[in-house]
Amino acid sequence: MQNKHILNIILANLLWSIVPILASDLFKTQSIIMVIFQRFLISGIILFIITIILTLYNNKISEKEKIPFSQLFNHLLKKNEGFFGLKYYIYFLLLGFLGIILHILGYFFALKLASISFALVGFQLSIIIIAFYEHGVRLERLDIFKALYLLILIFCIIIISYIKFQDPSQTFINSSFVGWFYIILFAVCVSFLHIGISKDTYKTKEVDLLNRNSDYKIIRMLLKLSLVFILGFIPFIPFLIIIYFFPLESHLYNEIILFVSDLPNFINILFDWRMILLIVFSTIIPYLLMFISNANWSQYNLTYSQWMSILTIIEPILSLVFGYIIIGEYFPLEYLIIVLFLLVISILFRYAHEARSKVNAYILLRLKQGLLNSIPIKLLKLDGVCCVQSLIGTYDLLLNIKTNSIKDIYKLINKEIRQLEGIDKIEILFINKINKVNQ
Amino acid sequence: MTIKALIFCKISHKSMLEVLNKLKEIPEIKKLFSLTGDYDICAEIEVIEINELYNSFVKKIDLIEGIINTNTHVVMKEFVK
Repeated sequence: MQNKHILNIILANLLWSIVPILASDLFKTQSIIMVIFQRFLISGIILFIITIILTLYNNKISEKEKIPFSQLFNHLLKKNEGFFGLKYYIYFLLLGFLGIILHILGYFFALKLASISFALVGFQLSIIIIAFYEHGVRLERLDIFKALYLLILIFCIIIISYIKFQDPSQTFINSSFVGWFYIILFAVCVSFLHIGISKDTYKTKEVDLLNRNSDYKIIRMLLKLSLVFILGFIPFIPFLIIIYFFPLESHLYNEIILFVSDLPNFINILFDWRMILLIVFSTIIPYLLMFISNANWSQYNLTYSQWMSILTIIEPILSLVFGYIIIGEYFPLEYLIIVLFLLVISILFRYAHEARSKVNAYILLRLKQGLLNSIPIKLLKLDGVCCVQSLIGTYDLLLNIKTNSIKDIYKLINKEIRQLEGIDKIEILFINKINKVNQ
Repeated sequence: MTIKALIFCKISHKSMLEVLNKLKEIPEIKKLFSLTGDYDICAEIEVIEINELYNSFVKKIDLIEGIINTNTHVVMKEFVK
């Protein structure tokens, strides 16, 4: 069962890596801004329609707990405590804007200014930035496997940069600092987006509804993604106007000019088979696969986000391979094999790190009378609590906890759980090993 | 509709592996957790009816040598996010 969901993540990464390369001619003939604009705006609208249809199906045809539209949309006006207390619609708008900028930078860099392999330097840089964030801010353990993983990525960046300096066609990188500025900006945008997107917290009413109807999770994720795609364009248009009137850099300015001249052909570009390929197979289907996996993830093994971290390197590996095979990018075969080998090894190190660093624990709780209905939802909202089971026995609740460190467990128990009113007794049991027996 | 129960077990010294292997042979036990704390093992068991839980416990688990003490909790409801 779990393997199926891991395969979904791999398949999504495969689609993300191959489809843009298959459609690379589109980026060469049309403005990248136009391609990204259509890809995300149209995908956002389609995902929004799917959200509405699924909700209507759930409410009118299925016999499951109803998902009121008012509740589905109400949370947009609430504050997201995990993201500077900003209202959800502003949070989605910022994520969308960042996502659009990084996609434009990424494709602009990969397919127009430099090459796919060099753009991947930015991607790998972002993984390093995120790792330092997790170590510094979230106090995640930097063990030997994670250190080796990061060292391999740094080594790969050095090899790719060396190769690209040898490539006579890469005059943009060799002669201009703008290329390096873009690649660092791209890495910073990817890092912020990766960190920001996980700061989405459910409201109490939502957790309650999710436990009465598990489909709410998929519908909520679809709504989030569709709004991220659609709302992201609100600040993007003024951003383009500013760049148009105050051009800071000629490449981006030319791209905006091309975007304006492409506008009359909006419909023709939209129905180009490569654009349809991008919208359906590189945007809608991979995200649907990811959401289905996330919603059905088992709470016992490595978490969904851990597997995402492990498998995220698949996308650059496949992009390198497909870029070399399909587009015929300059990359000496011997070096390509070395880089690919190192990146595959890095997946194993990341897996070893994730499997070792997670702290799994059971917490048994005895509650004061009359609180069995309200406490589980409050507990589920806490970071690190994966599942709450209501029991008949000497204890009332069993919490399945997954954190990144013992410090997180200490914080969770002493600063969060013990502060809740009505908890009589706490028993902590650390899980050494999980034996799968009969599934 | 299956009934899920968690059986927390205390194990005598040097019996851990033997007990784990015997518990693995019981088909109703779906997962085994090795723990630190007051209990050494938690067995997650799934049965169709409460009588089956009684039978599994009395005829299989309770007979395993090395288990000193157990504490069984039936799961009424599971909350996830």
